[in-house]
Amino acid sequence: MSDGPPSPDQPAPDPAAGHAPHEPTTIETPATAVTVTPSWKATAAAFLAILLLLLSFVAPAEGATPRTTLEAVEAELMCVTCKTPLNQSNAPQAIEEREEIERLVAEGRSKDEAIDAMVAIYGDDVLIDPPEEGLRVARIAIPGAAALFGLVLLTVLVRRWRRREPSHDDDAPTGDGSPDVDSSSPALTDDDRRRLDAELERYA
Amino acid sequence: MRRSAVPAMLGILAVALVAVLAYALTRSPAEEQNQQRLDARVQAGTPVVAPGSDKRLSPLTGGEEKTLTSFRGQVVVLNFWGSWCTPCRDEAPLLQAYHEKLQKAGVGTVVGVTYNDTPTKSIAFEKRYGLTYPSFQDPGTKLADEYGARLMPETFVIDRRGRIHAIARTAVTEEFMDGALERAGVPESVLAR
Repeated sequence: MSDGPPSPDQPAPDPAAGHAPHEPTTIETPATAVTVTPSWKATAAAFLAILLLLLSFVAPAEGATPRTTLEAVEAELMCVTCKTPLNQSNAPQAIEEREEIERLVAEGRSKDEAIDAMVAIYGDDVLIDPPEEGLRVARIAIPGAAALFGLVLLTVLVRRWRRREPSHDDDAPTGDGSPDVDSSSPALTDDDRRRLDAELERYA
Repeated sequence: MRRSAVPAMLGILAVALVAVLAYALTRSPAEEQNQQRLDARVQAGTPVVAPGSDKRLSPLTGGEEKTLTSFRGQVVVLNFWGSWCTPCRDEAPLLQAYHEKLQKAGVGTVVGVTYNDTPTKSIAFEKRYGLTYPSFQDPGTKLADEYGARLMPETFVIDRRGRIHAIARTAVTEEFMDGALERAGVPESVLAR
């Protein structure tokens, strides 16, 4: 009869009391048995229902773990010997790497797990965006600084050149005493030339 | 005077920067420099200390990491290989035969290091050719770079004190192995077996 826990409204059985049918204090009377059994079943059913309910929440969470694809993983990786993005290479090494990714995907690894496994085999060089190291930063910083320096240098030189230009007397007379108009004056437009000719004719 | 000095200084700086950039662009990669350095010294008959001896290496089949230093006291035939490499297949039985000779005499071992290879394929390669010598992974080919090893297979014969005596940047031959092991201190009697 004691095949389950008593219902909350029943007193707990005294283990020392044993199960002798002649003892009036035990719950093993036919009347008690009738009332206890349905209550235990209800408790068990409720427990099972709660368990199933909880499992119904847990199951979708497990299903949501991304089972990645070859395309998703290879988009993050390089072909280590050809030094090109993996998804743009058909070199034998790229084919090897793809086979390994396919194996990892088939094992049910997530994208991050598959990438980590590839790094464990091929090192950081397999990553399309490897972690920055001092030299890599310098590799970008030095040409950048050089370009910036060149720009500053060019700006300074152009400014100096432009500042010096007005002080230079371009209209100084040439050897024969006439002003050197052609060498220093800005080029005349057709319109200017027509106006100039007209003025010269007027004063001629 | 002061005004004319500024562009001159800027010009000198610009030339210096261009020179630095030109050096960076034309200088050979570290692994190529390592290759040239090791080859030059070994060809000149000067044993050179094996680089990367303290680098921790993971065994292909799992287990405790090891360094090349842990083989100190033995002659080591350090062989870089990959399951994808055809000449590696050709030389594997020869390396296994020499490993057995060295082990039987208790004087040395062959140590394999895989190059850009997946453990699954490397282990399958070992099984196919019955290789019993230990092989290790080298993620990112860091150890291979220290030896300037880029064209598989490449083999380095290292003596008991950790110095390289011979380099084969191609598949090894019996002739190479005998000569190299003898230079590394393996008795002729061991090789004759």
